[in-house]
Amino acid sequence: MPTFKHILLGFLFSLLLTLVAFFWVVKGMPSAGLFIFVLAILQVMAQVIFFLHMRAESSQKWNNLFFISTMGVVIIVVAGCLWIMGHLNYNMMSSGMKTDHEIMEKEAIHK
Amino acid sequence: MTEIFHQHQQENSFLGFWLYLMTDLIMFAALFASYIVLKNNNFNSPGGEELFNLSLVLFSTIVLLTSSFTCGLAGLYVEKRNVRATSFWLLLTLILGSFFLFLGYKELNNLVLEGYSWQTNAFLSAFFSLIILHGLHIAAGILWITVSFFQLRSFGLSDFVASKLRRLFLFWHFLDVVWIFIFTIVYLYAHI
Repeated sequence: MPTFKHILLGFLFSLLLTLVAFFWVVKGMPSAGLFIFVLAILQVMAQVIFFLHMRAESSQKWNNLFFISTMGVVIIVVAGCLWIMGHLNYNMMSSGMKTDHEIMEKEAIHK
Repeated sequence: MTEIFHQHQQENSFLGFWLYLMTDLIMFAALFASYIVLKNNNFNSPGGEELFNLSLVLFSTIVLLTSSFTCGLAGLYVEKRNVRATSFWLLLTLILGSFFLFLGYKELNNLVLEGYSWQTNAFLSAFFSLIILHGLHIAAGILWITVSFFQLRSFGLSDFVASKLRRLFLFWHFLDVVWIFIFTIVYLYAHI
């Protein structure tokens, strides 16, 4: 059963992580990209534990199983998407101006 | 015997709802992937760094987080079979959720009025799809909270209503979890 302390702890923890991520970016601290991603993952874990009350109990076996397999699908979809699109010939994701230029010449696009 | 059957049925409907949330998560993941792929294709119009107002987004994030907290408290009082406290926290969740939706609407409306709509470029198309889909979920959640509130007032905390409320709270927390990623990947990453 959830208790008041549990929920308050989850709330304060999430609030703290949100604020740390925000100020880390606003103040332009180093290696923000990785750091705030880790903070987001931590916050999701905190919310899943404190708010959604997910635990490794046998009564929740199926819920946890679905959760883990969904995480697998999500990772495949997102990571696979970025991997493929990052390596496409037309290099949609890169900020490489050279490729952009080449495509625009070829397709006669004028900005 | 009927009681065991009843409990079993409720566990099943909870699991079914959980399964729906997982499929929803996959849909959001696909939209996140398309956003990350398209976010640099802004075709010479301003990117996220110029368009997004971070302090406003932080404010609406805190509003949504607080609504998740009040929703958790409502869930606490459902287990204690306290109708008054449950409806109070439910109402507060409703107000905070509506406020969050209003803030989001304001933000998107301002962007469109400034001439940056979903038709401007691929980056904004992906951005609007993601944010509006989340907003539609919030709107559905608000409708659901409203209906549940009146159900709670008229039927009290019967097993039936309590089990419905549990699913509602799960849905609301889920939307908060999705918003964490929107806040990080869409808004914060634009300013790095």
